[in-house]
Amino acid sequence: MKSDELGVGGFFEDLPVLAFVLGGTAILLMSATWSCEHIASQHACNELRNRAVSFVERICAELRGSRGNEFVPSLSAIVQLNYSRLAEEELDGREYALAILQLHPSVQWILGHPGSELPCSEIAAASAMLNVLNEEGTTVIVEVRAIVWENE
Amino acid sequence: MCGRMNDSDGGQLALMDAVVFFAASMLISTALLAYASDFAGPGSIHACNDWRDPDEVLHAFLHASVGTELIVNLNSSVQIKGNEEIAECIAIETQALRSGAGIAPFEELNDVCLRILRSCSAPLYEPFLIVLCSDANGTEPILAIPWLPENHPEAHASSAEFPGLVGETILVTLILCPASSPELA
Repeated sequence: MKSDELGVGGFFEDLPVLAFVLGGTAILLMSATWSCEHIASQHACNELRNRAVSFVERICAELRGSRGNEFVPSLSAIVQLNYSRLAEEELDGREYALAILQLHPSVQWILGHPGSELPCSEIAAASAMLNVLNEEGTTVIVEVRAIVWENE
Repeated sequence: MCGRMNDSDGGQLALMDAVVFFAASMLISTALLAYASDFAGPGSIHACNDWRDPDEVLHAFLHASVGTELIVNLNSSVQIKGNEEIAECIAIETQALRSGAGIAPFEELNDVCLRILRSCSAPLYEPFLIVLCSDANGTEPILAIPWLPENHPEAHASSAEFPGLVGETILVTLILCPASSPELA
């Protein structure tokens, strides 16, 4: 061992240096970790949101058929549509809840799919409005709302 | 641990380097957090409930039936049975207003239109419908349900055109303003 006086002064001066270096590294690591997790979570949210939107759009497209936006489907077509098949094709096994509400001339519940009660991590929702012909020959306004989520 | 301190400035240089490293890591962290914050998510379910696309609302509104029986007392009474399309009723009203009729006979119809628009718009937004005619003089609206306040806040709007009764083009604009604004209170 070398016995001079330099080591004593160096020991006390290295502590604040060490503190700064450790602090800086910790801040850098924490912000990088948080940023990566946040970006990944937002990507997952966007993916889920896109799925919800495409599910709702698919329901509207199935109701209108090939006749486009100007075609007004009937209320019975809403009741008869196979939503499980559409969910299977659009949601890739994700859980969903669906509600179809009449907004005008009166607010009425038309149809609903409650979804499971499993805990979920991410959740997204989408809605669309369309005109529907009821039994009395009145064109009503209907809203299709879907909530889609990933199981934990 | 005995001895005297070395007064050379080598240690100070190391501390200086550490402070610079610390400052640089703070700077990089801030940039990283700012970058990550820009990745905004799609919003919560509440956000979905609090917003409806004005395009969708206007399209659904114009093609819906009035849904209630009304009698419009012009020179001769016009009966609206409820199955008439709202766009058709707006065309009739526009034509009557352009021919010099007052707004009074149409107040009930306008109330129905406003009620439908409110039921289709998100609860936090107040709807305003403005009707213009292609061959009318100037850009003054022929009809407004209701009139939009002058200093209205930031709003979302959508327009649609359809033919009127005598070959003119009717331009309908739906404006959705945040309902919490003091101007709308």
